[in-house]
Amino acid sequence: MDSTEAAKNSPEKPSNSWTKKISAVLKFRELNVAIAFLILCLFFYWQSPDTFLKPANMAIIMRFVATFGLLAIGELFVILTGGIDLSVGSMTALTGVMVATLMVKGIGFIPALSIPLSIIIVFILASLVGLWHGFSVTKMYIPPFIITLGTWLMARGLATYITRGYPIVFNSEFPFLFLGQGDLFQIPIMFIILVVVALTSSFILNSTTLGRHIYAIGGNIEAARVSGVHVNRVRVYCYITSSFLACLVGIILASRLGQGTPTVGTAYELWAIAAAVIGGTSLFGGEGSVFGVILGAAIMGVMINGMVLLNISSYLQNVILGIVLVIAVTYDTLRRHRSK
Amino acid sequence: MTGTPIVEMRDIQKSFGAVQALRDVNLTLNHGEVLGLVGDNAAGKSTLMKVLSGALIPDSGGIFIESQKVHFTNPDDSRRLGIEMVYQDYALADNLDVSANVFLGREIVKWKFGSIAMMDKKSMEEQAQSLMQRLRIDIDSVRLKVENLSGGQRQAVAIGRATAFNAKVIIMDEPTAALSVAAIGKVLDLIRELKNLGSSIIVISHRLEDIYEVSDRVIVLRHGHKVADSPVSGDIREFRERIVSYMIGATDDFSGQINE
Repeated sequence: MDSTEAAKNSPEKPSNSWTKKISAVLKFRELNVAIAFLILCLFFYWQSPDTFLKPANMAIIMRFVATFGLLAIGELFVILTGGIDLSVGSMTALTGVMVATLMVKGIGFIPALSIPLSIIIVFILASLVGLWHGFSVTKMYIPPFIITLGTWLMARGLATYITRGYPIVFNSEFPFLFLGQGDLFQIPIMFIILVVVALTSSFILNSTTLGRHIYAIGGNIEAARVSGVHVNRVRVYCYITSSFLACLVGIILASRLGQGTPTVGTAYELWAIAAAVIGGTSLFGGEGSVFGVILGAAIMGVMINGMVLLNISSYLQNVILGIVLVIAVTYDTLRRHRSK
Repeated sequence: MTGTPIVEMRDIQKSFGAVQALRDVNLTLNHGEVLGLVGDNAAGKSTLMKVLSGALIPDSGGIFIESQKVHFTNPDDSRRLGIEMVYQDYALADNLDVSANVFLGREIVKWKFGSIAMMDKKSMEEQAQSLMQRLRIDIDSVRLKVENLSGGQRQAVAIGRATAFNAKVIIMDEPTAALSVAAIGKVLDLIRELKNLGSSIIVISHRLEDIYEVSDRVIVLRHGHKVADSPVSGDIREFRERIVSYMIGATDDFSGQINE
């Protein structure tokens, strides 16, 4: 409805408007990704019609998409401003271990804490890590790649140190486990969390000034600065969002696995970045959407699941995923190059 | 061009270390006037305009806006008083549409919750559209991304954006550099249009023919000194020769200052 009104108001020649509308649809970034996703789904459904659509199999895919979708949304906020966050995989391990320690053992003379209190404490600590990243990037001019690489090492190291390398296991009756293992009408709770986070993030990016400023910073940081955008503040928010969502995934995975384990989330930051890029996010900043990022995670989820159903060797699976990543990036780069 | 000037800069000095970028420069801009500001590279044009737009703080001297003394410490200060600068090359975010660029940093907001404020996109698009129409800027739709516009259209949007918020004074830094001949014509038309609508404009340019086309008066800077301040007159050849001789130092004309 919006677009027809804009067309009415604008002095467009009527003869042009149809071709323009068609080309606008073709330029719709996520369309190609959505088509690729549908083709993949159809292909795997055709290959194993009995298994692919089974609720249990769908739940596996949804859990995968939830894990990497949440991480990739955090990554999207940072990448949109032209940054990167390499710490999210290690942060899931650290936050998972911490939340388990707080709930099961307590720390030092502090006894085990309640579930909500433990979760809140871990979220605050993770947000402080994000604040640290943002502060380092904006005030100390440290490249985001380097500062988050530091956390990548430190967070993993701390997670191992806290646990001495052993997982902290929850009692199997522990109510916290519902978060990662529970369902609602056959939909995993963690997927519902993804939907809520995705809708919220999408609203922020598309409809608020904060979102517009995030895109503007990625497009032209100097233009944003001279236009009065609080460039540094916005970038700090993005790093906090990324760490916050990494923490959310850390808590969910601890619940899903029934333990806080220091080895969880290895290389997840790279999977999250891959999902964002397959979903059409530009690593140069300023381009990308929540919808695209989730489609990217969904493509990876369906492919991994489908390849397992087809009995493809897990070694070969990575090769195929790598090829898909390269094709996605090459296609996107060429397309953008042509349109310029 | 009667009454008090809209902008008056008195005895502006600015040094960067040992380099004296501006030495006792005086500048006045009258209501509804287009003032050309020319000079060789490093003559101090951009420094002077950065002082006026609040991006630089002068070592000494005073700025008066409609006879009121002002102290600018950052670009927001000057913008609040209606002084807008159109930057040479970093004016727009390519990945955003025209409407978003026009309102960047000043989005119209429906409601606000902490630092989260919801934008009123429809109002912004309508206002951007009517701005483009008022200035006769030829763009199919304000929903077009800036990366899809031509160089001339971009410059027009950048200028239009500066005028969107009741600017009294518009400073343009090389608005015609890197444009095709046809696009230059359109930008010059736009400057005339703004003048007709009552804006006061300062144009920095290397292209003396553009200055000749649109300006009422021209100020020449050389090595941080004002060396000429004279009305634009005569035919283009004579004008060019006169201005170039000031720029390179063959003649100095202080008649403007004497008259003051």
